[in-house]
Amino acid sequence: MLRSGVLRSRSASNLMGFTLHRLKKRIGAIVAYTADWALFIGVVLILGLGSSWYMIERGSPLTTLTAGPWVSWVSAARVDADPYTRAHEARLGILPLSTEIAQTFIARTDSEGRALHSSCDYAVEGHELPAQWWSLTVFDSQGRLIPNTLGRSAYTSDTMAIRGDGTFIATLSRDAHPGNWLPIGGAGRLALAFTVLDHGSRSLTQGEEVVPFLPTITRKDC
Amino acid sequence: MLKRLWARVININVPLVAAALFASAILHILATLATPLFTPTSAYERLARALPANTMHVLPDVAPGAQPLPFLSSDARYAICHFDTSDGAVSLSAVLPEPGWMLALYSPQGEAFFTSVGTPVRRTEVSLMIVPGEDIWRMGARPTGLVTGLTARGTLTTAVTRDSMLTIPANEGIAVLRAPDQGEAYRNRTLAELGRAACRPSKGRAS
Repeated sequence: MLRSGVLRSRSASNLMGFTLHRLKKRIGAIVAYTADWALFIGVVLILGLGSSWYMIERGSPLTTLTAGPWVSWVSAARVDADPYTRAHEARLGILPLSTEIAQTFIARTDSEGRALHSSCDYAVEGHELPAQWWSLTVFDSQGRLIPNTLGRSAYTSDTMAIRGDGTFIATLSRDAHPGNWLPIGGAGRLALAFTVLDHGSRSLTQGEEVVPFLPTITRKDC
Repeated sequence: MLKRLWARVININVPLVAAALFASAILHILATLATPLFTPTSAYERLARALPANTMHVLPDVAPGAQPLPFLSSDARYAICHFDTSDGAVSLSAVLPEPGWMLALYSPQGEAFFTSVGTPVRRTEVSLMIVPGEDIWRMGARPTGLVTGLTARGTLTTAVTRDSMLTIPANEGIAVLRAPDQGEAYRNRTLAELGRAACRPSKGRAS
């Protein structure tokens, strides 16, 4: 009587153990399956959206021409522009000059790769471009012109004071400077735009023509 | 620890990884193509919405706080025409007197399908007739010098210059005349040249 009771209790305990073991296995399988899918979705989102964001925001050697701190989108505003260039323009809300007649280079760092910031002074040194119209404009990081009492945000090949040897220096600073001064006070992060316009010779179709003439950006004081 | 990690790596679900890479590529393509469609307001819409159709409008100086578009430099002054050929042809004329001057016609997608620049040797005069596609044959223009840009979007519209014709991708767009900033001394002359540019419905249109 007592023995049969013990046996019954043992078999009930075994059954419970077996059920628990099966349940544990099943939960483990569900967790593994869910983890696989979570990993799958995570990888897809990070790789898919992340790579798309990077290609639209920064570009790649296929879509941009990079020279030091300067970056230009090689097929901006063209009829045959690639989808990354179109998305880049749409995201920024810009209507750029077509690269068939102009090249616009944007710099967000100095020549040593440090982010441009209005708390520092910078010297932008370059050489006049032979037979091209060009301009240098300073924006904040969102592409807005920086308010200042002079109402000055840009110099062009017509308005920049150029030395006798064809070189120029523009100073980006909060405080007034003699010569070509672009005020940047209170803007935070900066973006510099260097635009070169063709004279109809189509020499800019290959942006590399401009690269040797891109100005250097040197941080002075902070 | 490294052994466990290695064991996990070699037990990786290869088909799932391949599927993840494939799905990432699809998502990458879709996200890139969809970005222009999901942008709340494009540069084109912002300009076109603010301007009456088929009128050349000289914009005020580009200045801080009065900048029509991001990254639009104050290195130039602008005259803009929002042209619309749904009611017939539109004629457009401008003079590009010097280097730095530029005329560009943009489609609603932001493609500059026609551009002309000022040269140092002569004053460039541009005179365009922008004609709805179905009218071009009735006008007797010969389709020489076709330029690519024809797409399935919108109605086929054609711009006819004195000696050539180009096909453009929509029945509306924006013409931007850009005059370089040469300093205060040249301001009045620049504004006068910009003011002479014209954009109006053509009187002799075929319809």
